[in-house]
Amino acid sequence: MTVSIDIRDDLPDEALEATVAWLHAVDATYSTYRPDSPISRLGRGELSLDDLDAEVLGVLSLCEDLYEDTHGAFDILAVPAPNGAHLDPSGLVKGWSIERAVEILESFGARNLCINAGGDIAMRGETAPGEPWRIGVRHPSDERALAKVLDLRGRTAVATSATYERGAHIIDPRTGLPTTDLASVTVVGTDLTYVDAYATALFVMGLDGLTWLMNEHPECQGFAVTHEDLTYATPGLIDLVVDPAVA
Amino acid sequence: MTIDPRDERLARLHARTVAHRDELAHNLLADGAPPTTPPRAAPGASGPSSPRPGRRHAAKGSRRTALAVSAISAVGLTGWFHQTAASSTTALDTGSADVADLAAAVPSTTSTTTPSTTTTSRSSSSSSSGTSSSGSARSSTTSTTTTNTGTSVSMADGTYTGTSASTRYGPVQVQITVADNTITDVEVVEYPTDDRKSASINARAVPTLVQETLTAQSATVRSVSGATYTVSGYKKSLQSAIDAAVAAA
Repeated sequence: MTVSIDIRDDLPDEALEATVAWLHAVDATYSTYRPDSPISRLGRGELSLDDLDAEVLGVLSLCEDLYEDTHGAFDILAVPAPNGAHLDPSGLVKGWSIERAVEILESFGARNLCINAGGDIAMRGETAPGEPWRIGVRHPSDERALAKVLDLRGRTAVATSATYERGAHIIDPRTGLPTTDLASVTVVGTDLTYVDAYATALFVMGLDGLTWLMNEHPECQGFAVTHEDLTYATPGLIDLVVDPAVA
Repeated sequence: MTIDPRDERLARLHARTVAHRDELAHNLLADGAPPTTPPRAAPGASGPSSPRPGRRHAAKGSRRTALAVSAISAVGLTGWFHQTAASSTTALDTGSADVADLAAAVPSTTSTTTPSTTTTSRSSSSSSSGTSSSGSARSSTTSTTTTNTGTSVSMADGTYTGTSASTRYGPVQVQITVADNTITDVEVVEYPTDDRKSASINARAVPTLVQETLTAQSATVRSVSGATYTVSGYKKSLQSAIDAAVAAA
């Protein structure tokens, strides 16, 4: 996964070095592609919860919170991880680690930045004075098009869950069967830790998920694109969409 | 003695993990082969059961009703009207077409553009090629429109209203305006919601218009959200297109 870091303030080199070091440390601990990472070893049963440090326990605890909140739609035990074990917290770790990366940059004085980690984005401030961060969202069925363009200001996070390959399916952990409703779903909020997990959960929930988001997390907005190319959105999303007539 | 809520959650996770493993082991013994789909977590191990969000919404009543349909792709509409025009010389008779059928019936008629971004004073990637540069760069914006039919089809000028199509949240009806054999306007005239403010969104999803607006928007898009095809498929993500354009500047 590639991380793009876009900072609009002048920062010392140490800021980026510290951020990159953090991301590498996260990879070493949580990557399910590394057989020797603590998470992989936990998944194989080589480690128990007692062997893990406070940070990892905090992350796993947060995953369990989300499991309850999303009624099982977000479930780190649900699907086999790349390493074969049934433990994959990646859906939360990605957003969580990027928010911590933003905090590192802020500690060096950054106020206007945008980090894009494999399509999940955390932002602060503005692109330029008076100019919001303008974010495009991939169209799920036309790889060269955008489904929406959003103007986002201040502390904002965006995450998208999708299957872009025909036949690729996300398994609903509650049924064990592939989901069918949505081609993609995008969530906008203030904390990528949660936004990332909500996007995963909403994809599993289908169109019902937008209703869940609207009722349970009105601080977030979202929209979904179905396989029939229909778009459904929470009522507040339209305020973020760039109006083509005035763009 | 206060119980650390985090310990409680971890205990639940542990219980679910154990239950999961037991179920997997049971399946292995039973079938002699690993399951092809992940089994559901054992009941009782997942904590208090809750209704699915959809049902809960119904139980709470409709204090917030259905969501707005904000846009309908012109992809399906364009092709549909092309096809219908070929078979009928006068006003369109779309029958009882379901909107889903409209989109599904048509191979892609798309207008596309690749987004671009202006670069920053400092930007970099952690694990692949960096994108640092100064000044601004723009990737090429291209658009292509293809029609699906092998024979050429003409549409008469005028305004046409499609039949009301049923969707999961209610009826949707669209109206197009045709001039010079091109759809110049698409409006959604009926929305599956009684929230008129949400429903007042004008869906101008027209091939040429979409092309122009995307071009206008893409000139200032800074970043793109969207899952990559696969981890190794990063190259297909639009963000990589932006990075490459920046690198080439």
